[in-house]
Amino acid sequence: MNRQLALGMLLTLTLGAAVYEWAWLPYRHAVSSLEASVQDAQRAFDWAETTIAQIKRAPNVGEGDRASMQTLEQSLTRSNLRSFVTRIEPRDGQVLISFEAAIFSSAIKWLALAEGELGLEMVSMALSAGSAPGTADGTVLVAGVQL
Amino acid sequence: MKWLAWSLFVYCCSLLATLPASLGLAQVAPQLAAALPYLAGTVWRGNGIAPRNAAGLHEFGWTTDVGSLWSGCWIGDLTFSGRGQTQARLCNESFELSELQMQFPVAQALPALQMPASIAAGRVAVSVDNLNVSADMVVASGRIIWRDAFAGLGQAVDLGTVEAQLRGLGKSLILEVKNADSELLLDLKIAVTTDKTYQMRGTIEPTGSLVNRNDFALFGERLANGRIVVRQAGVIAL
Repeated sequence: MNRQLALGMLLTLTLGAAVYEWAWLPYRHAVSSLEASVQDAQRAFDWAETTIAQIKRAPNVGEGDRASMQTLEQSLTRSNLRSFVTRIEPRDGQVLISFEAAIFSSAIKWLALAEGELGLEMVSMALSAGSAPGTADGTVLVAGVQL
Repeated sequence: MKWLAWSLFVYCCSLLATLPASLGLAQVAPQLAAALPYLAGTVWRGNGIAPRNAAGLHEFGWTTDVGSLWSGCWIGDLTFSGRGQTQARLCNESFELSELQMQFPVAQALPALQMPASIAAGRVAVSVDNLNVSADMVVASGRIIWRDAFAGLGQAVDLGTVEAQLRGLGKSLILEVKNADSELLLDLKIAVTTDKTYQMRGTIEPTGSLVNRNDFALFGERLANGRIVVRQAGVIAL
């Protein structure tokens, strides 16, 4: 009798464990995965919408996957650097960007953005302290822009 | 009947032995599971990919210490893209790393600090004896050495060997940074908080041929003794 009781308890425990592992855990995992997927999809949608808008506005659609001059200018605006730029000049297949009295942290932010997101190569750069504290004057020569 | 009992026992063992890591982690640490969606393998052994490339260490693997599970915590070995390894302990809301050894090019770590990778060169060796992070306290001991260190915006400066001592202070990890064999002397304190922000305070002192260089003024105000006060803050994008 005791053996049957023990066996019954073991069977119940096993069934409980099986239901927990094969039904409840996959269900919880699926729900959390779906919630994460929705958030990812929302972010991807926002990114796609922004990118499609940029592509539609770009004059050189289809000329390669390199950053366009327009994307370059947008990145300067995103980094709060555009208003300090005094010159953007194509030079031998590269682009020379000059700025004056730019906020130093904005310049660093743009350099990181240009390298990391736009895939531009910093061929050379020269930065010096601006007349006001925390500001910088400088020129940056970048490669990888679709001219 | 006896055979049935044994079969059930073996079945239970096989369920446990093949428990997928993603399911196990979701039960123990749901937030961590949400941050690490790409896991392959079982709770005992497997590998995964972190969503962002932190110091080129986005691929990681683990091996679980089976005996540790009786304590209600996870203890095991972690490896990072073949560049480092550590022993880790994950328990409730805290995690602990011990004997962490890691090496990587410094340029791979800079994007995580939202800085361009091209402004620095050299190789970083991390050696942490103990790092214990919980909701209200960070305890740490170890050091980070950046060898053949070069950094600069345009004209790079040889920083020699840069060494940072690690310690915990409240909810922050403190790095006390100094260097040797360089004309630019660093004396910086960096506080990294558990909410992934950092604050850098201290001074840099150009000496020798670097005294008259204008571009160090970019980092802050120059004092009468020639040192430049550095104050920088940012977010760590991991």
